[in-house]
Amino acid sequence: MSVRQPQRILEVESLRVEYRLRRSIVPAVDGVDLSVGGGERVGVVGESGSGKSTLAFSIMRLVRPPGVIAGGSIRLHGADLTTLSENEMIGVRGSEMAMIYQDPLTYLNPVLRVGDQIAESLISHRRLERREARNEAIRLLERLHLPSPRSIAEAFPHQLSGGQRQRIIIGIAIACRPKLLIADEPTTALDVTVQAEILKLIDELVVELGMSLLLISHDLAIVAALCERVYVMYAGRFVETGPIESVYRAPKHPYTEALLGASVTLLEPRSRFRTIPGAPPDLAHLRSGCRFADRCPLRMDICAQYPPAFPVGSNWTASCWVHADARTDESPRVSRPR
Amino acid sequence: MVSMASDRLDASAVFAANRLALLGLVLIALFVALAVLAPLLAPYPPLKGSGPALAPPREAHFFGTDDLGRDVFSQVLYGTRVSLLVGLSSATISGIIGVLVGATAGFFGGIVDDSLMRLTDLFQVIPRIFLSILLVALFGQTLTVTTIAIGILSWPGTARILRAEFLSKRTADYVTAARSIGAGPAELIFREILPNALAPVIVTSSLLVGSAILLEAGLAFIGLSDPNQVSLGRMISAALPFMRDAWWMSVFPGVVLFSITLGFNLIGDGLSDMMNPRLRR
Amino acid sequence: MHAPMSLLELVDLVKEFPAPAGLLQPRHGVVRAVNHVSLQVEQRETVGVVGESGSGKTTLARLALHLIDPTRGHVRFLGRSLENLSAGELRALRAHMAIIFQDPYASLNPRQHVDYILGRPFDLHTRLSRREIRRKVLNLLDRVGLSPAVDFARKFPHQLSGGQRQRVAIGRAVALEPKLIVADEPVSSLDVSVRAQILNLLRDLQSDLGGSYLFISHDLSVVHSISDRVAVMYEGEIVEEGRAPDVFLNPAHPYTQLLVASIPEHLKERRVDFVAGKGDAIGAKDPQGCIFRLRCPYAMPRCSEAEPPLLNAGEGHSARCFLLEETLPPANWVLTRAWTDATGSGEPPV
Repeated sequence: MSVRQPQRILEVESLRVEYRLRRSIVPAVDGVDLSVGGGERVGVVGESGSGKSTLAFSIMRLVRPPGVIAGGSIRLHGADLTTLSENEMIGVRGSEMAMIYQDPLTYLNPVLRVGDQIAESLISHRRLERREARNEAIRLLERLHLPSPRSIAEAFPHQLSGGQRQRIIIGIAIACRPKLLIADEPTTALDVTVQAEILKLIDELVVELGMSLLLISHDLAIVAALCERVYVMYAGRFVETGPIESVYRAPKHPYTEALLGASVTLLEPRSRFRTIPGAPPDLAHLRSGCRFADRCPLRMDICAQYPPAFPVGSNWTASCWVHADARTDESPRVSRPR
Repeated sequence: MVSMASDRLDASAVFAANRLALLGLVLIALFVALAVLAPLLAPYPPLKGSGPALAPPREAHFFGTDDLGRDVFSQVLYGTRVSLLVGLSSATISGIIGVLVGATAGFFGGIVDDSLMRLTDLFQVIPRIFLSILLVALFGQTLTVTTIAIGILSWPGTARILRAEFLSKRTADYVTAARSIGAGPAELIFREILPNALAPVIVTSSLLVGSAILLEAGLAFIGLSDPNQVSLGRMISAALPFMRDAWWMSVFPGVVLFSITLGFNLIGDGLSDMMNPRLRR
Repeated sequence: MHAPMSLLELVDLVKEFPAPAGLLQPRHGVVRAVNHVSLQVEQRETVGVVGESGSGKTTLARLALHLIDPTRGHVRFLGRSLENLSAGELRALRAHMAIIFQDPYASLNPRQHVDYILGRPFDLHTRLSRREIRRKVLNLLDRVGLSPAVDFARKFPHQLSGGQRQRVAIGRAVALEPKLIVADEPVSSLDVSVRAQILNLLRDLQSDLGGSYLFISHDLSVVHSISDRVAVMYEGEIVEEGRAPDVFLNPAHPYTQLLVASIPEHLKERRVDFVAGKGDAIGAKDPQGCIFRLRCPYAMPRCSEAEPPLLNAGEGHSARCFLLEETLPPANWVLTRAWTDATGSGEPPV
């Protein structure tokens, strides 16, 4: 397993990110607390509209108007990123923390050879000479398990396959050995066999370079494969967070439970899928109270008040009134075992 | 998710927010009103002398009189009519031709596309003035000939735009879906793709009206327009010898011409902006 | 058992496209998207087609409905060869087949409202009056779960969510109660929870209307959950075919084993060490022998000499692999052994 250093690499507190539109203000991320320790792997799971991508981009301070960080703090090694200027952020991105994205083609420069794109990162952050940077880039390509690294380095992005491009993106991200790697749906656009290889690669690199990993995905299984802890996100807030094995085996929040129930897996025989009635709420017109209430089978009157995060186990909380009186070890399961 | 107001409300909101586009709309509305009401508003018949020659603007003649004693204001009103009529008609003609050619080329591709594009090239290369002169010489100096001449000279741009739209949209899933339930080529062109492809055409067409009006004025300026109709271009042409002494003969038609063209251009720009944010939104 | 005549028969289909010049490809040439594929779909059956990008499954979907012409081979629907039909006959036959696409944002015409979209099939193939069509459309909306129907009928596609649009697309597909529906990745673009709803809907519609599905997807779990039989495609060929539980839980072809071993659930269970970089390379395709042999750790000399035919791997289960003729056929080794480049050793599973 990973070696866990005591300090927190990333500490997000009460983060609020809004989209300020002409007719409304949409709170895409609405008061979120998240932390990642040294060498730790943490996942954020949610469907579209949950705000998870906005969260990832805000941590990197890549959110552009009409999106705005409206409150809270993002501490990387103790330094609050929300107070830094754009110039200072440029220094941080790539060297302290880096991100890999869903669609490599849109994030690679189509007119630069990929070897050069990796070298650029090395030159600007680690101040290497061009020749040194080129050689380091080729070593990196080898480390990324790309065949014939020298010819790949000469290639342009459109000449490579999806999986190869994703490896390049990973290469650019880790070239300067950042402490934190954020991966936003890194394999969604890839074939399943390629996905397996990329996940393995991320896994290896995270261990080898002692990085922390923040993995964002809608795919519960991927997060389970790579992460130790998970945050479940719904309508801009976290509804449950805890150790992966525990959360998946015995979810404490009705949404987590429903999400797991609706997931289609190979290992279960054919059956009718359980679905979640209704639809996610309109973020522009949120009512107070629990946001999952009108879709929740356990809805009670008190759900008109937003539930705080109740402890339901060690390092494990769930924002559901069902756990209001429970003590850590005896909190009830949300529903029947799956 | 974010709820959206109905698409049309949003789009016209963008248009409305674009002050310049609104200005364009106001201008054109004004001129259209003037043109339509010309018979009612014109104090004198435009082509008959109604006062002393070369009289400056005053109460009896708002815009003064020209060298033949004809009221400039009345002429301007009727001239606006002609400009708008020619501009809109020729833009419509070129629009129709452009759409038919572009849609056919873009949808069928292959040899059909190649031949139609060569035809388009041909029409684009011909100098407009020379062709107009030729047509007028052949068919006479009437408003109809002018309109048709301008119409058949302006369609290549529209055709290319529409062809590009068709090329990109004909492989869209919704088109394939229509094919899969048994729709034929005519249905696919007119019911499926065309409604989605018209947006850029509408924009260029409004800009085209502006340039058609200018072209008509140009033709009139060099004497190729119908002598029995008032034309702003002809007015300016006739005012040349009197530029210094009777500024009102050229300035008023000039300002009107400029304003009409500006109005259509502003509307075109506004429409162009309106089409885009809808996608971004 | 089966009806005497299959509903859909794909007979030795080949589809070639002109090849673009690429990094390692010759300047001129053809790409064989579909390479001698034969497949049957019976009445009331769901046949799944699984494959990754480049497998040819999307091309196959379009060939099945004659939306593109095959280079060789033919497609028989209800016993009639689709290439030989006149335009009118083909059009009439289209009332019995339908397609659902992956992208719910692209498969509905943005300028048409739902009422019109759902009414088109009736317009084209029936002589019903406006009022009767309207009634059918409202029924359809109810049936696919878009209620109140009257409200949804008025809407334009951009006013609907992804799941709602897909329901409209499904409604359009089942409007005339076709015998065959080709579904090309119908749930891949949808959220996890919406996916479940749509799969339930598809299943309900099948049991109500008795049609057949040709269900194409890259997602093994989804295909497994809805299919009776499955065909696994790789590089334009079917490499394995059989009943869904047999193919997925007891895969005979090494590629299928690789696919199954790659799903995230198996990653979590740490039952497999991953493939070490052998896949995911754009290499020149070697036309000799088995198409998978360049990636296969079990490759034998005979694999480069001839292409294996579909060999028997069990009842109604076949795979294109010479290992099936060897005395010890591999039984899902990938899930219990390391699949490495250099050493190919491992113990047979328990």
